[in-house]
Amino acid sequence: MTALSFERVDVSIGKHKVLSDISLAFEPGELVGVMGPNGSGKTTFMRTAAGLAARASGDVSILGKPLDTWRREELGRAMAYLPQGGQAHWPLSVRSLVALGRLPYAHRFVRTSPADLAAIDRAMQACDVAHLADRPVTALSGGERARALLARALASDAKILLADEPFAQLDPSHQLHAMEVLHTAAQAGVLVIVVLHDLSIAARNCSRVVLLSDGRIGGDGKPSQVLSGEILRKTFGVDAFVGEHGGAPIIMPVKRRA
Amino acid sequence: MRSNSGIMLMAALGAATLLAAIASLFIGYAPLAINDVVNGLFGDTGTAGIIMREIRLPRMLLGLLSGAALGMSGAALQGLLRNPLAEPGVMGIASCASLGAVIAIYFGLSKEYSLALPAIAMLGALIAAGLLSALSSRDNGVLTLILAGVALANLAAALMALAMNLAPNPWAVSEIIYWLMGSLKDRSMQDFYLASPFVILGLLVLATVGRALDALTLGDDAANSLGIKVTSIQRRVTLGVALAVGASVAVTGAIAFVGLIVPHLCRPFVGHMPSRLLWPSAIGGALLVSVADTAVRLVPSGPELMLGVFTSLIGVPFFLWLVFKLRRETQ
Repeated sequence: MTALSFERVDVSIGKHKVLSDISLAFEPGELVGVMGPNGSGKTTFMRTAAGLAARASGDVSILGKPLDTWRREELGRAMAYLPQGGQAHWPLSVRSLVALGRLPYAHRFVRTSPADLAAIDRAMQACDVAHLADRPVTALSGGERARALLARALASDAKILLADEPFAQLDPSHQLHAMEVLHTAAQAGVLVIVVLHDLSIAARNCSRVVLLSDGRIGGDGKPSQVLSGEILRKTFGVDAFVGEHGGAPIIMPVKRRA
Repeated sequence: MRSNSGIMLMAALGAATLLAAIASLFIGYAPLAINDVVNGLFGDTGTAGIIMREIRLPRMLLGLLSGAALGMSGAALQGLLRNPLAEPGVMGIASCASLGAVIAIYFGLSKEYSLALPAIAMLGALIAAGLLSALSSRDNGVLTLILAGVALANLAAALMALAMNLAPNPWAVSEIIYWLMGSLKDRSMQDFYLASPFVILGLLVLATVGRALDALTLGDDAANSLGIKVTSIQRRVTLGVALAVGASVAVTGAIAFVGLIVPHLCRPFVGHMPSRLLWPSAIGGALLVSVADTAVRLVPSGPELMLGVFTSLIGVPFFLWLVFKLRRETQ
């Protein structure tokens, strides 16, 4: 069954049309990189998929069911959404923060079931924040906080994971690690859609890249097809070195075009 | 483990509140022996009975009630607005209740019907809640709610100033000013019976938003994606605060700073979880107001210090300390 589909979706913010005529379908187990220049509509695309941005027209379906017919709590169990520049307003402990990912499963009489505790521990292990469990989240570095927030999203055990720039503040080692985490989730059958800017990481890890350009689909397919020198020139206005290391691609933008 | 610490906190606060409430029955201007206090509460028909049942008991009960309303409202608003400086006063709800009371005094209604003042004050709070709900209905987020609340509070303040400006005689002005200072003096059981159902209803409404407030720690979008309907939570908090604070301001006047301070004092004990803060803040508020209201009876100040004045006097230094502490933490 298709995990997530967009059919002729238009989204406007004020008078500005941010997404035009987007039609896409994603299957379970895909690891999709959403890429594009600043302001090309990536975040709006993610928010639309999560049911947070109002559509001007078109349909979105989640697990075969129209988005508008989902109840919010059920949707919370089916789909986890990690917003860009994730925040945590109070100095909760990392464990309490990750536990928020289990809210869609809220039970009336018990706060956390054994299944909740297991999921919370698993997510903290996976994101390498188990050793920070009792630290207040406001006392963490940006990268540590980003990992804790990713663990929060993973703890939902959702079939669909939407992550908007989860790598922005991570060091190289944790970038690779976080990508592995998403990869593992995808292999377990989760549809993972991630917004990212690093061309090489996308090319080496994603099973599919959707390129947004000015609110339209500028490319969709295997990374090797979408992230070609020609398309990068057209969409991002850069000349890029496209090479290879150990059988996997390396893409490095080297020069802006006038 | 941490939920235990929350229960411990509530038990400790509850015990302290009980002690403070009992102590407040023994402390007053008329010296009463222990016997008189007990007999006065249960059946004595003489002076002691009148003092206990018509003066000290309503005063104690209203202190607990208004303190609980202010404490829990402050905790809920700080959680909703994710702003440690939020309190019932910021949202304009308390101000609109005060405005209602001022209108009742200004037009002399409070003299003719004793229930006019609290009734119109509560109406003011509910109108404020209605306006805020209407404004938060369009997916506007929290900032709009704060700005609307601040605007509403200022409008209410301006209208109260206008009422004093145009007041027909100096007595009306002084009555308004005294009322605005907030006090539990000279309140009756009738006031308690009037306010308590609304306060309790308000507290129960606020108690339902705990998990939603936890989710809001992550921001509006993440909370929405966790199954929380943020707009409906905003409305529920607004309604709960209007019922609880509106009813308590209607009978006591504005008691400043309780709603701001109490959640901050409780927060470290509950791991900063907004949901675990609600009931401890209610009990802590009841404790603080009980103690403060007993203290004003002990201060030898000639005319009794108004409760609202007293809480402001302790509240302002605390507020400054808080501001500096927050600055240190963010730098």
